[in-house]
Amino acid sequence: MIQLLKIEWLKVRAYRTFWILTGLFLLAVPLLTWAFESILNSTNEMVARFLNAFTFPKVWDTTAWIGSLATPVIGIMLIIFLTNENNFRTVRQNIIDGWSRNQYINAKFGVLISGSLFITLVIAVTALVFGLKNGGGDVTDGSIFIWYTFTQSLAYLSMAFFLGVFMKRAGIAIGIYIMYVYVGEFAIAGLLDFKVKYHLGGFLPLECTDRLVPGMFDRLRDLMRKGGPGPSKTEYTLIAWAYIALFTYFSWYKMKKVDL
Amino acid sequence: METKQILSLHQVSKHYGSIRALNGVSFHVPEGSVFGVLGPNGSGKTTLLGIIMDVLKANAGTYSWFGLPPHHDQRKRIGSLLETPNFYHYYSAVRNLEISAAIKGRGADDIERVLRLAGLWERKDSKFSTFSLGMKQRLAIAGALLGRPEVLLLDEPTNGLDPAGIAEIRELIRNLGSEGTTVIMASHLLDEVEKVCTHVAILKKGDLVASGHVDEVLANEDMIELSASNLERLEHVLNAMPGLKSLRRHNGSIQVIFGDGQTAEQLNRSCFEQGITLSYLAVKRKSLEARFIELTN
Repeated sequence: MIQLLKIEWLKVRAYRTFWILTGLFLLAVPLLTWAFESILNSTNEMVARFLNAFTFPKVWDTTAWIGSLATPVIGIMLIIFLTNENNFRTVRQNIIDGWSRNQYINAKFGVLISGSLFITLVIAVTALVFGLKNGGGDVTDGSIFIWYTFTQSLAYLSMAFFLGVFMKRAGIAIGIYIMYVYVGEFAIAGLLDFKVKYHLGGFLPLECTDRLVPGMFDRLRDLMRKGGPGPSKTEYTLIAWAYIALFTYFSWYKMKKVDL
Repeated sequence: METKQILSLHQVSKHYGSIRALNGVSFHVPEGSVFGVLGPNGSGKTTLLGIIMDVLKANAGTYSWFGLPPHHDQRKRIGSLLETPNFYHYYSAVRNLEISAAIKGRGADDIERVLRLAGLWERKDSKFSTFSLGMKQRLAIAGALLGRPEVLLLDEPTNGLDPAGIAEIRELIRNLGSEGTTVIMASHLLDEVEKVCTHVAILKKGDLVASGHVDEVLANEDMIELSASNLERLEHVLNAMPGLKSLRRHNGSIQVIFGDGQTAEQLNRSCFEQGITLSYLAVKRKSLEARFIELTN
């Protein structure tokens, strides 16, 4: 796997798009967190203190939620990597040069997991810095959110992976991804929750992870008030991993069988 | 002495929906040969090469490389250029070849040699996206040569090259062939195959119509061209001869093909005995083109 990842690294280490999108994410997470903190502090000090959004343990949840707003940037990057390989037909060349299809697929899964680890690391460090700055309880309190963040980023990226494998055109894949991530699922979940059954929206592939990391988003609180507690964190995690397994399985199957 | 087979195909078939691209194709490529896969556009050449490189999946049949069942590591011993040059557009020639070398696990120290050989050393740091069609093709050839592979698999290698480039590549293929590299080359350019190949397989709409040594595929099909002052009388005499397969007039002479291996000497004697003195007599090996058209029509 290390050997495969080294080759994937060769493919991106001088690719401008890679550095720009990675840099964008790296900047976006602390900047967004800082902005939210500033807004909260300036509106009403009493409310801010009451929410304790930026002190341990709540800072883990808050930062994870804020960071997840930028996670699709890495998803877009993954879509670009995968559609590039198809459009440049370099996937064909990789196989011709002597990779097995499984090696190609594993290399890409390696990129997917590396992306999730990177997202998790950036968010965790940001949470730690803001938490330490503002004090509060014990640092390890609430650090389970590192795991939730990893699960969430893996869900977001495996959906991007799926689109990158099944769509030929980067533009269309990215368009669908952005629409679904920011608008589509929000709307579908809202309709399912309030028109069909309370908490049903939590069974959607990304919404289940958004409910693992609710942050300052109040729809979940609203739902819990009206429809009871709903699924537990463990249940949401299991739903997320089921989707991750599905997305990666279908992607693997397609790459294994397709004529290149 | 038994010749080692580098590649063997056994009843390979492939269809795209209702279109049959390959119908039970079988042949062998002996070690050290320059093997031409010949056929008109759409005859299945590229499909065939795609299958043996595992980028396309056959619907039926098997193949083996180096006498062994297919395995991805075998491809590391084969330098290939399939259809189009496939490279990362945002990378330079050198970076692209570094990736190929890393996957092959060989040839990282060979990049300068192959780029010089392909005439691209001056442009080694230019992005692939800035290359002309001919330069892209040259880079693909450089990539195929990387690490001195035992087998070269080239699909239309002279595509997009200028006449000097075409001549260079032919020379290169001939040299590699004489050094013992097995070369498998697909082409619709007969003249290209005729000039460099020792063996040939001819495909027509997915069917293999002939394969073997160039001389065997073209065996016993020598064409004799002859002329006399009275062409009508000559034609009349020739038409009456046993074993005549075909006769046609061509630029003031007559071209004949005999099915029974009639030699020029015998033919000359027969004509003379019938009172015709030939003014011109020549034996022409039937060109691959004529054979090709005959086979594929």
